[in-house]
Amino acid sequence: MRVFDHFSAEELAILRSRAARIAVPLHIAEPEESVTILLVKINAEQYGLPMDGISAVYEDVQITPVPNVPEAALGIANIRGRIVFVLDLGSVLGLPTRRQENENLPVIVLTSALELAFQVNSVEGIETIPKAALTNNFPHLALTRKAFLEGISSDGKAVLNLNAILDNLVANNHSITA
Amino acid sequence: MFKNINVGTRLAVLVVTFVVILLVLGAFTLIQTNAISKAIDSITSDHIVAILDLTTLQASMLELDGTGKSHFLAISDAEITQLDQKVQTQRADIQTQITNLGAVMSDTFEVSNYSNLKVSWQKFVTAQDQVFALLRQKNTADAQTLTKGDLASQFNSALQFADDLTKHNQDQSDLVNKDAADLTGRTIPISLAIIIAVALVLVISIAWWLIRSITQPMQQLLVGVTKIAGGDLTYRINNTSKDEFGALSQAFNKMGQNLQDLVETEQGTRAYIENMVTSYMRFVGKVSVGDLTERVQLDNNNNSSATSHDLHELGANLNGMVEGLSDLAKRIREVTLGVSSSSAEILAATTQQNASATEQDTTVTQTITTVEEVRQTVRQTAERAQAVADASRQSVQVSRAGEKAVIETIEGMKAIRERVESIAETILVLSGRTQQIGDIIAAVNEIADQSKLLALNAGIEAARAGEEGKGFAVVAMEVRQLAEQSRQATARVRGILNEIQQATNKAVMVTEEGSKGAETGMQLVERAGDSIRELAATIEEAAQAATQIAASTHQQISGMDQLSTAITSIKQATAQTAASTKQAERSAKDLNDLASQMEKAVSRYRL
Repeated sequence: MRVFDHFSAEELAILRSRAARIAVPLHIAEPEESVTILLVKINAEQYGLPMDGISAVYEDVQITPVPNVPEAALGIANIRGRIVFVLDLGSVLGLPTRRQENENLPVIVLTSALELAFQVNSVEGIETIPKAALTNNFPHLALTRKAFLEGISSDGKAVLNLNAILDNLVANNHSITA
Repeated sequence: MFKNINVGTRLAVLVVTFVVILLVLGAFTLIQTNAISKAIDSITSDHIVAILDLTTLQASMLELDGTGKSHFLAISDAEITQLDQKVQTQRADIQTQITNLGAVMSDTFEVSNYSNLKVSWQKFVTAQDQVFALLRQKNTADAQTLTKGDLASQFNSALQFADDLTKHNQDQSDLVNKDAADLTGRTIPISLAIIIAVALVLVISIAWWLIRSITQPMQQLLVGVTKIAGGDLTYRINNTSKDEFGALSQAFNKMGQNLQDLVETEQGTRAYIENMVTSYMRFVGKVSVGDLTERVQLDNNNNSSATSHDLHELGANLNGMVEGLSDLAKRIREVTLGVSSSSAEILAATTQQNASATEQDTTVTQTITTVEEVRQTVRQTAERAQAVADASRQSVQVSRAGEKAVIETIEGMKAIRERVESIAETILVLSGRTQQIGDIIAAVNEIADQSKLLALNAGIEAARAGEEGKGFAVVAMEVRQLAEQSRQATARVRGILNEIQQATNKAVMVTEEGSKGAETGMQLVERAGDSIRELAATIEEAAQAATQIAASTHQQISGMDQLSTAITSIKQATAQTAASTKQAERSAKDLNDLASQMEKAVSRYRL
């Protein structure tokens, strides 16, 4: 059974027209530089991870705890044959974590050569934000390490700088990547 | 020194002084008057008489001298003899006068001159006799010589003595007159003036002393009385004299002391009375607001005055009064409670009775109506009883038809039960299918979740593909939205399935009840058939009974007429009873109100 078989011909026509309408580029005349981010939630705040640093998102990932690692390191996991190190993104960013027992949270695998994955509270979606709309004025954000931030969008979404975060991880704790 | 003399004595001293002064003045005046009188007497009875006698004597002597000298002119003897006789008479007179004159001679000068006068007189008489003798002898020459000589000398001497005496008496008279004039003109007025002046000084001094000795204590007394009148009872007069004012001052001081003691006593008594009255007023105030537990604190001190005794008795009487009032209030409260309870019971009873009476009245009215209706009904019953009898016969036939219909109904009910059981089984199958649909929906839901994740990863891949992957990214987002919509649709389907399951369960139970109801209905129809059969038999009996009823209802009509009359009488009696009961209820209510008021009135007393 195909995916769209349960739609009627009329419904399929509507879907196609809507897809065509959405697929039209908004700013054809003036293509501007933008950043596509994966919107995630840590606690109640929304953060954006730059899409070029993300490999995939997985759920129902079995994480095996590893002893003698920092608090931010949740353990290791086997994802599609790859063994990756799962870190709590909130702890990495220095935010207070609110985690419940047996909570099935999504895991974001990075494209980094370090074989890392970040666990977040939820994945909200994909969004493209013009770089010009990003500002460095973020007085109400809980994140105090301003170096981890690329900028803040006009509607308050904090775009993270993955390279800075990874550099900080490497600089502070070689044991994670060793 | 005068303070110890009483006022009467002082006045007596003044009067005596006056009297003494008057006596002195009288004595002085009398003495002076006597002196003047003596002077006048001396002049009138001594000197003037002597002057008159001496003047008479000198005249007589001059007449005798003339008579003697007449002898020289006598021519005859007869005439001489006559002259001699005349001389002798005159001599006798003169001698008498000289003798009388000797009686008024007082002082030595007069006695001496009087003696010389008598000597000269004797010598004149002798010389005259000699002259006469010479004349008788006719010796006229000698006679003349003698006459001019010795006789004239003696005569002049005698006259001279008489003149000296006259002059002496005149001088004496003038002297006495002058003394008297001095006495009346100077001595007496001066003396009187001095005496009066002394008397005035004395009287004024005594009077001043007397007045001062009276006015001074009077002034002290006046000041004292004014002070006491002004309320200063401590003022005392310092007067220790033994007179009436001393005694009056002592009496005044005693009076002041007594007044002070009296006022102090009165003040003490008044303070005591005010204290007691304040206590009583406080007590009465508490009693007036209903506090009957209060008692007057009776004063048992040793103040045994009449006022204290009266106040003590008043307090005791007040205590007794409040005690009695308290007992009375207690008894009233008990009685009021009893009355209140009784009146409440009476009120409840009367209210109930009133309600019963009203209800009874209503009931009787309804009964009358009912009786009337019954009478009408009986009349109709009588009319219909016959119809019933007729209908009963038809009913017998109908009941037989009903019995047949019941048998058919039983068959129908059996068919219904079988259908219902079939429906129940079908619904149970449907319920199982619904469960299967739920499982499928869970699978679809899971597929939707995975589709969502796949769409997300597709989006990631598209983003990583860069510009070329943009179109794919849109498709991936569309897929993700579809997955979301699928989740929502499955959620709605799950809700609908739940409702279907609930409805199915309910339908199963309803069909179960329907099955049971069909069974029960069949039983009921069977019982109805029995009943219809019994009914047919009964209807036949009823037809007979209806005929009898038609006969008896005629009797009932007359009975109902009697009953209607009787119930009308009962209604009148009930109305009277209701009126009486209402009156009793009002009285009981009034009594209850009175009891409440009395209870409220008594409740303000604290006992």
